[in-house]
Amino acid sequence: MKKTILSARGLCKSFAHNGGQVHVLSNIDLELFDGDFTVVMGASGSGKSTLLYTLSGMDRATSGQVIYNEEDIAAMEEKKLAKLRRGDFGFIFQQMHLVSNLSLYENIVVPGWLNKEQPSAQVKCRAEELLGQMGISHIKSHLPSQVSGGEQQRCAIARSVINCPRLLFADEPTGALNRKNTTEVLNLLTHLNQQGQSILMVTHDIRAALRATRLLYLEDGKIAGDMALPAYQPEKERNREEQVNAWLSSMEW
Amino acid sequence: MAILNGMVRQDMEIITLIKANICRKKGSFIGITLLMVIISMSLTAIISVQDNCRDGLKAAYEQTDAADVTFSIKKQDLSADMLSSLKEHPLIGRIRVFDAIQATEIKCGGITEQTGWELLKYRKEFKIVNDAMNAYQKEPATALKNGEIYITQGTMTRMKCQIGDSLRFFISGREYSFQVKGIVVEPMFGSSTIGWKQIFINDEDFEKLRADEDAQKREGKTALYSMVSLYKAAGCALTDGKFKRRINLDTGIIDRASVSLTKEMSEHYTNLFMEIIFAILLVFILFLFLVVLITMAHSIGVGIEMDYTNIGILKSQGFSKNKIRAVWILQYLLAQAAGAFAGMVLAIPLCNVLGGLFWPITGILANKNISAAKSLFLISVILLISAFLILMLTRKIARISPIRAISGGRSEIYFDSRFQMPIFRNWLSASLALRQFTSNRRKYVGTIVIVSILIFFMLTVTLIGNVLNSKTAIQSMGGLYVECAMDFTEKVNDKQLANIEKTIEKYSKIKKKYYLTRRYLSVNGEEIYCQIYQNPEVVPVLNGRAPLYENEIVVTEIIADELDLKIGDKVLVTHGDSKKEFIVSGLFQSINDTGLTFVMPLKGAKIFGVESVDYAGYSLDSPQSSAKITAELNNIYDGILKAKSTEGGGIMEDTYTIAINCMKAVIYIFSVLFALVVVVMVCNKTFIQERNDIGIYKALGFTAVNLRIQFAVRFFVVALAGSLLGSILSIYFSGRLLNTLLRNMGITSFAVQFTPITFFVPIMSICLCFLLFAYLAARKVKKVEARELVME
Ligand SMILES: Nc1ncnc2c1ncn2[C@@H]1O[C@H](COP(=O)(O)OP(=O)(O)OP(=O)(O)O)[C@@H](O)[C@H]1O
Ligand SMILES: [Mg+2]
Repeated sequence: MKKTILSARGLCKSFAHNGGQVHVLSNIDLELFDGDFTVVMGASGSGKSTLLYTLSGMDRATSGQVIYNEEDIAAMEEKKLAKLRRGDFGFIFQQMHLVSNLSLYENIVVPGWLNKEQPSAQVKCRAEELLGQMGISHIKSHLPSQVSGGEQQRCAIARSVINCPRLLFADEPTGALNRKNTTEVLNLLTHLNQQGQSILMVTHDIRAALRATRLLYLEDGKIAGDMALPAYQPEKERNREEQVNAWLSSMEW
Repeated sequence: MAILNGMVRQDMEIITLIKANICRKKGSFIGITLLMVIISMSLTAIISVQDNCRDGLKAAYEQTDAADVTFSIKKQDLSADMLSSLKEHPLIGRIRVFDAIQATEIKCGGITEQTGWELLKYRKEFKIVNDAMNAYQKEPATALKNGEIYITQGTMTRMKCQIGDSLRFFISGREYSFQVKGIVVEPMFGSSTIGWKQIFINDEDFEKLRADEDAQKREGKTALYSMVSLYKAAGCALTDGKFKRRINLDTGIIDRASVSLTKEMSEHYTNLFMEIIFAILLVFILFLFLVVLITMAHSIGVGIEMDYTNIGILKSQGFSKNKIRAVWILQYLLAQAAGAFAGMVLAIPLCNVLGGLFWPITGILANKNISAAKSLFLISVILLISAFLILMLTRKIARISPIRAISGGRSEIYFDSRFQMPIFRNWLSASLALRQFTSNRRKYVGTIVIVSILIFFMLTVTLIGNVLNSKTAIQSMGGLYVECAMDFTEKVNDKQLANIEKTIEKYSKIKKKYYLTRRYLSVNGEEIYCQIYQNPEVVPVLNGRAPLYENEIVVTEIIADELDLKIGDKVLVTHGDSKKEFIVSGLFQSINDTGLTFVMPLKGAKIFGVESVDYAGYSLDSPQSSAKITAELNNIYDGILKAKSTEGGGIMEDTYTIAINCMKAVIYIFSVLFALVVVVMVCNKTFIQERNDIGIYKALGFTAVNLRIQFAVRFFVVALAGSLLGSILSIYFSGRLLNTLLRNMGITSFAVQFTPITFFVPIMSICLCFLLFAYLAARKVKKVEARELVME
C-alpha cells in the first residue's frame, strides 16, 4: 500500500472573467502517492496548469481542500505557505522563470540558502552536484540570458530540487525544448524519480508521458482517467508507448 | 488588443490610444499632474504676490505723494536762505516742508527704542487700515482726539504693541503718553526694516508739544525738526540716489540732516525681505521643475520598456512611428497642462494667504490679483521645455522593430555578473536587494538625483534657520549679537569703560565687546553708513585685516563693488567741511544698511568731530546674568548710560523669524510632497518592472514580508545615497547660493553651520518617506498569489 503524500477534496477553482465566472476546476478529488511519477495530460485549456498551481499552493482554490501533512494548503496562511515552498515543494515553470540578474549557480543556491535547515557547505556541495548532473557546470556563472533555453530549463530543474523537496511540481518542463534536450530533461526527472523523488508533471508530450508511473487525464476540469504504469524501463519503451497511446485514444485525446 | 482591432478610422485612433493609455497608466499621469499642480500653483502665487507687493507699495507712494528724497533736519538749521536755495535748484521741482517733533526714546511694555521717532500732524493722505488689516477703512475716519496717535504697522511690529495700547514718548526729557488709535499706511518709513518712524497726532496735541518745547529753552538742543520732501524737477533723469547726492554737493543740506531716505532706498528696504524669500523659493521651484523632468524621464523610459510589445504590435498593424510618438507626447503634455491649469486656479486662494504674510514687515496693503499673463508665459515656457524633453525621450520608439518587440520583449538588458557583488547567505535579502539595485543602476540614478535636489534645498533653508539661532554665526557675519547693550548719554572715557567692564565681569565673563558710534559719512562723494569702532579689532574681516590704524577703513564687498575699490585703495572720506584720506585695509560684511556700510577706527574719526563712542555691546558667557548686570549698571551710572538687557533677542526681529520659518515650512512641505508623489510613482513603476522577479522569489519560498522589506530597504538605500549626494552638494554650494541670494541683505559670506541635526531631520524625513511608500507600493506581494505575480 502506497503512502498518500498530497490529496485534494472537492477542489474547485474559478476565475472572474468579464463579469462572469469561468469554472476551470470543478469538484476534483485526488490522491497523490509517495514515490510516484504522476503525469497529467489533457486538452489545452482543460485546466492542467491551474490544477498544478492550486495543488502546490501557488494559487488558492476557490473551494475545497488540499491536504498535505494533515493540513489544508488552500486555507494556509502566507508564512506557512512560504515555508512549504522553500522546503517541501519544488516547482518547475513552463517559462523557466529564472531570476534574470542571478547567475545559474546563484539561481540554484539562493533557495537552498533560504531554507534554514541545510548547512551552507551542504547546499554548495549539492548545487555543484546538481550542476554536474544537469551538465551545466561549465556555464554556472553565466546569466540566464546568456545560455540556451534547454540550459535554462535544466537550471530550473536543479533549482527546484536543491532543497530535496518531498514533492516536485513540473508544468510542461519540456514544452520549450528540442528533441535532444527533451530527452535529457526527461532522463533527469526519471533518474530523480527512481531515487525516490515524487513528481507531479503536466505535459502535452507523449514521450514525457511514457516516464510516468501514473497517468491522469483532465477534461473540462474533471479527472476523466487514471491509470497506473510499472516503473519506466528504456528497453520496454515501445510496449509502453502502445499502452499509453491506446489509453489516450480511449480518452479521445 | 480589442482597441487595436477597432481602430480603422484614421483620426480617431490617436485620441482612442491616448484615452486607453491614460486609463492604463493612471498612476504616472496622476503623479505628473500633481507635481505640475504644485509647481504651477507656487509659481503663480509667488509671481503674483511679488507683483502685488511691488504694486501695492507703488500705489501707496502715489497715494501719499511720497517724495523722491525725504530728510529730517533741525528746524533751526533750515534757514530761509537754505530753503530758497533749495527752491531755486534746477533739479528740484517741488518742496514740501512739515514741522516735526523728535522723540529721543519711546517705550511700550518692556520695549524701548531710541532711534528717531518724529511726531507730525496727521494728514488725510495717510489712509487708515481696517480692523482686519486687509484694506483701507471705508467710512471716513473720525478725527484724532487729543492723546491719540496713528502709527504704521512697522512701528507696531517694532514696539510689539496693539491698537489701544499706550506708547510713552520722551521729548527733551519730558514724558508724554499717547494711545494708539489706528494704523496708517505711510510707505516711506513705514516698513519695520527702516529704523526711522513717523507718528501722527492731531493739530492740538502738536501745538501743545511745540509750546512745551518752546517753554524749555535749552542751549543748542531742540526737539523741533522739519521733515523736508524734495521732488525731482520734471526733466531730471537722475536716479534718486544721484539726485540726493547732487543736491547735497550743491547745498550741503543732507550732511546737516539727521536722517535722509530716497524713495528708491525705501522701496529696497521695504520689499527686501519679500524679494529675498521669493528669490529663494523661485530657485527652489526651478529645481522642483528639474525633479518633474527627471520623474517624467523615468516614467517615459520605463513606460516605453513596459510597452515594448504593444508598440511593436501597433507598428506591425501599420501605425507610423510618428503617430505613436505623437500619442506619447500628447498624453504627457496633457497631464502636465491639466496640472498647470489646476495649479493656477489653486494659486488664487494661496495668493490671498501669502499676500498678508509680509504685512507685519512692510506695512503696505498688497493687492490680491493674479499676475495671469506673466504666470501663463512662464508656465508655457515650462510646458515647452517639457515637450522638448518628451520629444527627445520618445526617440526610442522609432527604433523599436515590430518583430524584436513582440518576440524579444524586455529581456534584452544585458549586464555582466563579473562586476556584481556576490550573494551571501548570511546577508541573503540584503545582497539580493543590492543585486537588484546594481543591475538596474540607471533607473535608480534619477531617483538619487531627485532626492539630492530635495535634500539640498531642505538643508539650505535649515542653514538659514541655524544661523538665525546662532549667536556666533551672526557675529561672524558682522551682526551685533549681544546680551547687554548700552547707550551713553554723556561722553565716556577709557577709564569709565574699564570700570563698566569690571562691573560686568563680577557676573559673567565678556566674550566679545563692541564700542562704537555711527555716522553717515561720504566716501568718494557717496554718503554711506559708517560704524566707528573704538576697538576695531573685533570687526570680523573676510579679507585683509581690521582697520587698526587711524587712516584705515574696511568696507563691505558690496561697497567695494559699488565704488570699485580693492584692498590697498585710497578713498576720500568727507563730512561737512572736513575731509581725510583713508586706505582700505580689508573687506567685511554687515547687514546694517543692507551692506552699504564701512568701518573706521575712532582714532580716524576725530577729524569729523567724533570724540567718543555712544554705544557699547557685550556678548556674555552667561547670558542669563544680563538682567542683573544691566540693573546694576543703570544704578551706578545713572545719567551716563542707559543699559538694556537683550538676552535672547538678536538683531533679527520676530517677524523675520516668522517669515523665514514660513519659507522653511514651504520648502519642507513641498519637498516632502514632492518626495511622496515621486516615491509613489517611482516605487509603483519599479515594482511593476520587478514584479516578475519578486514573484519568482515568492514562488521559491521567500515570505511576502521579507520581499516587501527588501524592496523598501532598497529604496531607503537609494534615498540615503541621494541624501548623501544632496548633503555633499549642500556643503559645497549652499553657502554660495545663499551668498548670491542674500547679497541684497548685505550678506556676502554666509556663515554656514552644519550640525548633525541639520542633516538628520531632512534626510530622515525623506528616507523614511521612501521606506514607507516603497513598502506600501509592494503590498501586492502579499495580496496576490505567486502564480499571478509570475504570470502577466
Ligand atoms: N487568470 C485567469 N482568468 C480567467 N481565466 C483563466 C485564468 N487563468 C486561466 N484561465 C482559464 O482557465 C482555463 C484553464 O487554464 P490552464 O492554464 O489551466 O489550461 P491548461 O490546461 O494548462 O492549458 P495549456 O495546455 O494550454 O497550458 C483556460 O480556459 C483559461 O482561459
Ligand atoms: Mg498550461
